[in-house]
Amino acid sequence: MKEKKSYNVGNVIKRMLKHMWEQDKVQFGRIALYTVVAASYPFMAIFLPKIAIGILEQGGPDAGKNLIAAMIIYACAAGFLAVLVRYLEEYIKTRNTRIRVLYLGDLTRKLMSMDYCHYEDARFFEEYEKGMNAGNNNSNGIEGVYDNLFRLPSKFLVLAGMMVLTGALSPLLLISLVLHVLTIMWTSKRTHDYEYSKKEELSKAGRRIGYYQRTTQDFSYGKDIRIFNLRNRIMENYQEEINAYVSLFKKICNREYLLGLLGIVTLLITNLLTYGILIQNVVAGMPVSSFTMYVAAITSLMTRMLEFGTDLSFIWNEGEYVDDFYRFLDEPLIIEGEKTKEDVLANCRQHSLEIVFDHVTFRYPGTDKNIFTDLSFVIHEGERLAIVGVNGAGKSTLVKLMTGLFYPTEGHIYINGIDIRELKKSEIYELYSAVFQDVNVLAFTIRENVGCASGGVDEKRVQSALDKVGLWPKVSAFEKGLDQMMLKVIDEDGTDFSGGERQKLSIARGLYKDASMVIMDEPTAALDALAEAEIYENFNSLVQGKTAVYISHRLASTRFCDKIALFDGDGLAEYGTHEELMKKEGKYYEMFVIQGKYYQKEAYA
Amino acid sequence: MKKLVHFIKLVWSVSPAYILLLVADAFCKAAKTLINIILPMLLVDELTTDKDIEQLFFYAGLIVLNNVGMTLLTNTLGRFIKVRKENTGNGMMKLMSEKIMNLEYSYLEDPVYLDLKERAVFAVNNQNVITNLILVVSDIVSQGATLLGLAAVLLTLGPVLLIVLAVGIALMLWVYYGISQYQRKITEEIIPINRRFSYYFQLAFDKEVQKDIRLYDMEEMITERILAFSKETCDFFEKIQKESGKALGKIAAISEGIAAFSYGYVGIRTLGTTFGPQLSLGALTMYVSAAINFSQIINTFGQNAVAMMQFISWLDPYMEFMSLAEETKQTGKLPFSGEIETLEFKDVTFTYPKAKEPVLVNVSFQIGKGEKISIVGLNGAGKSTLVKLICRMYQADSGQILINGRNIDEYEYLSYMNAISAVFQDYRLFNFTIAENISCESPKEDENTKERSKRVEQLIDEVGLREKIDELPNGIESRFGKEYDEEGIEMSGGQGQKIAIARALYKKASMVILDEPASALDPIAEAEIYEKFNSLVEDKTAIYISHRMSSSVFCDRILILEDGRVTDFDTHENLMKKTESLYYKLFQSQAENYKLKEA
Repeated sequence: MKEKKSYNVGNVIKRMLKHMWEQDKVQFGRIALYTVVAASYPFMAIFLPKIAIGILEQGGPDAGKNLIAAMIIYACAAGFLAVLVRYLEEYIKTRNTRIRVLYLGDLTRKLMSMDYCHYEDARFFEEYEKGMNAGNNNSNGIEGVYDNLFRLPSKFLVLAGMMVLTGALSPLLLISLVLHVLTIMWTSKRTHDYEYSKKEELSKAGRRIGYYQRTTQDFSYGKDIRIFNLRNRIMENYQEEINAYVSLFKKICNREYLLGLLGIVTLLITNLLTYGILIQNVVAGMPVSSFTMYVAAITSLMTRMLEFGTDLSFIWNEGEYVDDFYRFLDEPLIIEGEKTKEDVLANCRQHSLEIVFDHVTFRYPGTDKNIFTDLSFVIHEGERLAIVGVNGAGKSTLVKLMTGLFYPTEGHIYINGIDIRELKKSEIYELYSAVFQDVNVLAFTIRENVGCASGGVDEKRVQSALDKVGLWPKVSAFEKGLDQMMLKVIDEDGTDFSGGERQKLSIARGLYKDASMVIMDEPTAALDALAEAEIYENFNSLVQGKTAVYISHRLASTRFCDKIALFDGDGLAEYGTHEELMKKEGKYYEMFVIQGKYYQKEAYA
Repeated sequence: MKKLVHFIKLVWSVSPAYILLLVADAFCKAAKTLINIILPMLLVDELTTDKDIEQLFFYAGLIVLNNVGMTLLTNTLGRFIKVRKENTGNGMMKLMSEKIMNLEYSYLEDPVYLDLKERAVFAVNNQNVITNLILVVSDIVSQGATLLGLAAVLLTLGPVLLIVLAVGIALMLWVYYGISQYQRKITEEIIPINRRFSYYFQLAFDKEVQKDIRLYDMEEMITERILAFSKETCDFFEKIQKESGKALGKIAAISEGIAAFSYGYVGIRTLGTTFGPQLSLGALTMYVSAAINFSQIINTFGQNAVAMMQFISWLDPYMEFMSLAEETKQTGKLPFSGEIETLEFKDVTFTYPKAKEPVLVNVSFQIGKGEKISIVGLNGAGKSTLVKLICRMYQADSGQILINGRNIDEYEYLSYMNAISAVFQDYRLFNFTIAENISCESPKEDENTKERSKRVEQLIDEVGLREKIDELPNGIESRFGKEYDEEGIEMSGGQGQKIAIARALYKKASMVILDEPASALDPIAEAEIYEKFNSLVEDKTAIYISHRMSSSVFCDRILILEDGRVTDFDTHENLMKKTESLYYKLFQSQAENYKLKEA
């Protein structure tokens, strides 16, 4: 993992403002208006006692009338300002939400286009978790910073005004107030730093609690927990993890509390100074109306300074997560060839693919165990290759390498003679129709699930694809036909398919895509024998002369493939046609005989 | 209100200290506000009259003491509250886990309860509803106490100010009511949109779908939905926020009116006795700040009350879940002991709750001690359901399941479950060590530890995991799960399945059920396991379910299920003679693949 660049809050804010400018220029106007109104409104409350008590102190026969007149004017002016401030505030906030939400598309696009390997790297998501949250949260992160930023100018103006007021009374008092606020800000910064230093420990402890929470609340664990009577065991562990988390959390709270004591001391000093100085002034002749005004102003100043400090540190702290967010958007996160190789692609579209593994060594990033060491073999154009082998031999990893989801650690993979590293990732993806064991039917319409796009889907081809896999009778029976929604998450009238039907849908997806090469990765593991046989037939319609790879831990697939590659724990063990391998009487022969033993003649007896 | 009481009781059961601390904190805050309203009166009166320095500093000292002392006190309480909050939040979640484990199993397969649980978890995890509700209630208590104190102060002035205050507050509440009704209405409209948004948004994070997204270029299709739904959500939010902006403005304006009126009215009372006894300037400051405080606090009080109602409604799924009935049907008292001698299904019919069609229809068969049978049928024929009935996860609609001649429901649940062991198709392992996953016993050292590891090691050999285990630095003490621990190990589907098989065999049960136990194993391992099964399960009674027809060759008899009915129950040899039967077809379709070509 790369060393994190140092964080500069200024740059983050600049970029956020730029984004705001690009998306919604009027927002700046709204903020300007808000600043004017919101900066004057708080002074109303400060001057109110001064005005009222001032009139009373002056006395005279008209004091009563004057007071009432003044109060009516006050109520109208302050009321008007109040409505304006609140309305503008809420309106600006809702615009901020819109401005922030526009980032969501960038975020998800980035996720869905970055190199697949990051998904298999738990640390990656840990690193960016806060950053991603910063984009998808309406009180923290980007929106939180926006909401705090727009209030900052007005708050600053109010603060400045009150400081002038207080400073004029006593510079010493002002200094002590500022000191008090700085102390509090400093302690909260220290606490935050401490918390940040414990971040990893905390998130690890949190993850462990999360594991127990998810496991215990995942209904699919229910059966095993009951059969093996694991209830008490698990609950004990759960409690232990909670305790571990809380005791860590306690440390942070203790630090915060102890540092907070410093703030109590400065609070004491400012309080003593405030009352001491004010009482002295009144004794020296200052009117009581001014006394009450100053008390109000100083109290308000103190809370406003603190609030201002909190806002600043909020912006600072959350800005760091926004920085993470921007970092996520900025990092390339995809390693691929630079130029589009149109000629290669055209060639690939016309012919099928030839794939060459040339001295490929591969281990998953962050691990030290080779899945393959110095693996070389060729999948010839138009050939059907069955890849069989024990679990853990890396069969699925082969698919990930061919499709560019991972690059080999050493060695090269060539597609029609060109090194896979020279191609764009999206270009590699385009070349394959792949079907995996776990079919992901998404909550889109059937048409979208097959066509993988919302617009421009060729209806006839979708139909014919569904027809080929034998799903058309079922689909056409739906009232909405192809527009029938899948799953119930989005649409309560959504439908779901059985395991076999899901596989067929997935094959239809592959048929529709009509890519240059076909890959099937364990598509029948969860199906019954008859459904499995149907899938084998579908495989044929999917392939039609294209290069194809069929991965299975069963040997049935070898029946309809031209070549067989047998992988064991050490890589490619045997390669050849069924006849060749049977003649060899090696591992393949052994597997075939063992697995088929009970299907042979003697079993019929 | 009833819900709230129920909730507080629940919190109390998790952490009484938390509630006590919050109450103490609430009263400290209330006291601080009240003292800050009364003391300045004394100070101002002194300032407007004698200006006695000693007296002045005494009052000022009291004010400072209140400010500083109370801050110290609330900080101290706050430190404990913060820790308790984490404890309680997690504790409430754990309570739910406990609930799930105690629920009757049938709930766990019912989508209605699954949905209820998801909503409950969402409310707790994403909306932080538990901690927020607790905090809001404690604020309400604090503000309620303050309001009562202030009302007492204001009453000493006579009714006029109080009446005007009451009118002002009534206006505010009316505005609040309007806005909260509006919010509720719109929020209800947002929920389904937001749920849709979340679904598509989460797709981008879901590892499982990434291969498909990339290979089938679904990025655009998904992003479109995300943007469309987020825009729709924003439109709703804008409506809400504009309205609440107006409402907040009105409320602030009313509040300003109250302040102006207070100064006007109390001010006039300092001038003469027209409206009552003449007041001092000190009293003016006290009454006015009491009135202003009152209207401000009632403001937040109102906000909190609305928030509280909202939180309580969000909490509904959680509370509903927590009040589900626990394992009521497992009423049997008779402890089960000894071995399972016979298992008999007598005319058993079973329909899943809320389903229309029965899954099993008049199923009858009998197996004896030590017999090994296989259940064969297409997907959906009711094979796994049959197993669930034996495991007492569901109860038959009609007919009886008898073990040793007695209805299984008559046996006491735990002792009955001790007699049965199982490997399910969707088996689950836990982030324990390998040894614990197999033995399902606590890792604590005791006299049995040695024997336990010996048996575990032996099973590791038998299921064919020796090689893998020897690779691990910690052997059978290695822990599962990378997300849990960096040192954690991951296993492939096949290896995991072997562990699950070892676990089922470790349990000293007299019947073993193997539901698709070898689906993720490679051919050699699968064949090995099947060949060994008979010796592995020893003299236990065994029920297999497998798609691999070859496995049934090992069994004494094969039970054929078609659409929930038993169509045959016979030996492999006899079944293979019926060339029209489902069994024959299934067997042939697989045997096809293994015909040894004459070399």
